[in-house]
Amino acid sequence: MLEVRGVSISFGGLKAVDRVDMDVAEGEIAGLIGPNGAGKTTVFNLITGLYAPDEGSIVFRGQAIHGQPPHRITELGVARTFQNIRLFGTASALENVMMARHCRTRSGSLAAIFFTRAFRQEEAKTRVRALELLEFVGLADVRDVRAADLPYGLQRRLEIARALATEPQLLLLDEPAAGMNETESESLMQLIRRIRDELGTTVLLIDHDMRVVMGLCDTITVLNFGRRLAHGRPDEVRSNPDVIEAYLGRE
Amino acid sequence: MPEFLAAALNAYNLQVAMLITINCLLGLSVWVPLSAGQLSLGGAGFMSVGAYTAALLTLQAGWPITLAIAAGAVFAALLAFLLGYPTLRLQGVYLAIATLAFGEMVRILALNLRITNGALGLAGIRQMVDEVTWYLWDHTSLGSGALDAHTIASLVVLGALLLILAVAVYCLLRQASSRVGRALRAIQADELAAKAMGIDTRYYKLLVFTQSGFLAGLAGGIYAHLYYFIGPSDFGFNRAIEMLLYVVLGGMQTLWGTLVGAAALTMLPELLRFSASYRLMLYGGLLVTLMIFRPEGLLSAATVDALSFRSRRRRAAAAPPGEGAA
Repeated sequence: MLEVRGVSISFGGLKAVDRVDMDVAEGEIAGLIGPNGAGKTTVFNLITGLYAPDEGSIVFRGQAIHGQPPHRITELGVARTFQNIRLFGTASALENVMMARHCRTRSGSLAAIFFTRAFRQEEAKTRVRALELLEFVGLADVRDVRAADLPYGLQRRLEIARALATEPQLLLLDEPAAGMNETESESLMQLIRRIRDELGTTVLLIDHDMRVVMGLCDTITVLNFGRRLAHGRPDEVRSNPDVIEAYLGRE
Repeated sequence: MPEFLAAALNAYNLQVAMLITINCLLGLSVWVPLSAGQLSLGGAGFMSVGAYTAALLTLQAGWPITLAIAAGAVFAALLAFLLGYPTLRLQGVYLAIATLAFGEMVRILALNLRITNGALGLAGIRQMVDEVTWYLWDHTSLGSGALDAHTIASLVVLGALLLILAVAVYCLLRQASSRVGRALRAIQADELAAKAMGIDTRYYKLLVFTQSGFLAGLAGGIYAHLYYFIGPSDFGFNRAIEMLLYVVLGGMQTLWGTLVGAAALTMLPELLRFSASYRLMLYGGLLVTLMIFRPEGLLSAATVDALSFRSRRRRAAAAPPGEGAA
């Protein structure tokens, strides 16, 4: 579904991502791990078009997406959450999700001004769909609360609901379990499984919580210093000597 | 008609009321891009373009006033679109400076071009109130009662201006509560996240910029045909800042704040006339005081919400029966 081939990007003299290859197969939950500064988030930014790669290609469902603008890539079916939560803070939870229905809806200013039937129907649908998604992630009760006023764990869930509102085939989650306690990350893992099983969305996630990554992912890619260090099933990756060295150092 | 009403409808009061509607349009032209997080100070430039275009069309091409004003607005919108293409890559204060520079360019062009008559400006522009007055004289018997024809004509023009403002407000409100408005708020809140959520930020920034140019150009065309004269100094740096003040002091969270700000700041210098030469000092002092004690502007979103009928009904519905309003 997603094929990343030999992708590199440098910032100044620093090669943040260096000829990385990565594959995500349809229907899997894939993990991207690595020590701090390994370039994981940069890979996300490359996939979602926030950066254009210096070299290499990114192909999503047979279509080259590298160098395309972010909104176009979202339209093609890739959505994401952010490591440092980036909700639309002053808007309500419901409105946050409705805002993300943008690329799946059509009506413009004129339809709104003339209050056409098509416009009203689309607005109603947008609202219903957003409410369904809030329900799905368990935020139906707080739909009118300002996003910035929600507790941290719920903000993470709202970001997921917002990303789902764009109807992605591939969902990128950047450290969804960061700062969560055991119960919270347990229920988050359940949510991610439901996203895959009930919505049929492929998931690629970054996390430092090894319990989450090992328990959730079908395949894992390990990055270190911008390069791919390993790739495989969780048990393979866990026993890979290079990975152990990167995380724990050499004895 | 009661005496006091006839007295209140004097030429001066009506003129101030018309100026308020124009300034409301100008305030909205700043508010629209701000609602998507874009600070444009090019408003005076677009107003100038609208004013000169419309005035030249009536003066030299003999166009009807309404058509000329519309053409001025469309031309200003077109120019805003063309200017927006390169400048909307800029963010924050850089965009403000680039648009301010555009305003200065327009002013200097108007100062030096032959067609705009340089520093002398354009004089003898046809005036809306006059035209309506003549029409009333020629075709009706109005104006022989308590109100003279000129006052009635002023009322007609004021009514037309209020109608234009109402239409603009209606359109902007509808837009704000639609998919487009959500996109604008998303861009204002977090441009990067908006992009990642599938919003074409460039398109929407260009859209608000064009709308802003249209509103300022419209206000300019009306302004030109309310007075006999326009000159380059009518559309300088001061004007650009004044337009921004309407929005900031009125409260930029909602569109209503801009209208309140424009009305208040248009009337304030008039009300301060008693203080003669201290007038501008008092004006400045009041603005500073207001910003210190009410930084969110005269009308904040919370105030609007508290005043709105819909939220009152919502609160009433939310309150459990028997407990009353808490």
